[in-house]
Amino acid sequence: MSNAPTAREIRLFCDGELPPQEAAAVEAKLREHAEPRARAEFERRLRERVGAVLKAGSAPPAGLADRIREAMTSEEAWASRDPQAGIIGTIEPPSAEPAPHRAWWRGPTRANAYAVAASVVLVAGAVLFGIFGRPIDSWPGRGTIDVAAEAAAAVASEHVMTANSPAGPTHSARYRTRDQAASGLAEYLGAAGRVYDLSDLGYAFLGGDTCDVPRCERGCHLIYRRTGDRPGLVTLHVLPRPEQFELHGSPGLKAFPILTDKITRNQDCPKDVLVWSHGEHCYMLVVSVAQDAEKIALRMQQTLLAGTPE
Amino acid sequence: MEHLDAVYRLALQLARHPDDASDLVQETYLKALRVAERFEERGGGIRPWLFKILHNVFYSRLARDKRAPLSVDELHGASSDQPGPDEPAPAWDLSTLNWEHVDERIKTAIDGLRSEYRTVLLLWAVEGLKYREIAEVQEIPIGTVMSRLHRARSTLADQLAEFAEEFGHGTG
Repeated sequence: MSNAPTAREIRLFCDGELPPQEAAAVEAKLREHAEPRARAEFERRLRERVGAVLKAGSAPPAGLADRIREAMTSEEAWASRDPQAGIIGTIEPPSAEPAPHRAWWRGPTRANAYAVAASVVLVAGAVLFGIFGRPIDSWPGRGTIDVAAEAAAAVASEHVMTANSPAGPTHSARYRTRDQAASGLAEYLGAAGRVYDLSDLGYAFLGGDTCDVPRCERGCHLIYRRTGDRPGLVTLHVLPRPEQFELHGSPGLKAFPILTDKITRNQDCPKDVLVWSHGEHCYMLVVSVAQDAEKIALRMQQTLLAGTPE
Repeated sequence: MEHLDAVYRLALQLARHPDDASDLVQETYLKALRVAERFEERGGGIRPWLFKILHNVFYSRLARDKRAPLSVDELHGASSDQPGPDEPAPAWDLSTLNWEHVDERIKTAIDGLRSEYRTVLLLWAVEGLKYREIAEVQEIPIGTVMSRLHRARSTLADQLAEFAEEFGHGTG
């Protein structure tokens, strides 16, 4: 069976993605081997059924085409377009209706005068506001979502840097044991903090340290690592003043997508920063192995809610 | 509007709601009208270009709301830029699956996929785009297209294996 095509070759062949020479070679192999041939047939039927399922029940609503045509006719650009070009060729132009009426203020000669007048008003307004308006320090702070998102972005970045640190994730960690970390958190954050035991999930506690997170007076982070076949890194940031992270909706678990393509070394890429608050702290969790993230977060939340000691 | 059906199908997979999908399609056509002079024929016709505009319109809308946190319900599945690994042949006999009754199971499995997987499946299975064309529409590397397609198909294959086991098809 060593000559048989691989599953990947079969899929590429079935998808028509192989160059002609390779396709011919795979086709020849398929003639010789029954099992890969059955697999190729399976791939073909699967594509056919997926196509049928996705096509069924997805016809556009009856009035949609008319609605779009109507919107297009109201586009000022319509009248000046060449009906033979590009997209227009695929869309029926409106029937003999008059060209859309041009708004009075869009007249070519008036437009410049109005633009100049508007600019003068804007500049004058800005100057007056600068003189008589409120000082910027007295403005209300940004929304809590913005603050939480900014902190989450910093936490995600911290996670990636920790994972990729050439000197190891905890080379300068202040707390080396869970006991040290627990008392360190309590001392630094001014209230008892929890240092979780994730050993049953395969994650060993590596250490913890204090850190700076934007718009937080102070913060601490804890680092866990799993080695072996499925290595993973967990960072948990514990931040004070949860009121500024209070998120809209339920007080439960929230996820901020990590908008980065940085892949942590030898690990999966974390997908979200999971955020929740409890008592006097806000918790921001990043887990390299995405499948473990929710499990670990819910476990930590439940521990907090139950008030059970770790 | 010869491509309306296809554009709406993709919009529905992205937005998941008929009203939102209709809005997306309308915005797509309006945007296409505004930038029609930028269209370059690359052999695939105007359809992939409309898909690309639709895709951009959808993700621009998402980006506007990107600071809103996602529900944890959206947290399953993983993605990678690597093409899917080769995998061993399945332990069940593929050739004996009764294809007459699989559609409902396939539909359920597709509904459970994340939108990036559903849209790749749609562009591949319904619209018949090549990997390169899908990559251009979605503005992702071709390896990511292969990876998503691999994962989506593997998920469907797993579901069909379960189906075969439940109903005694293909267990030989």
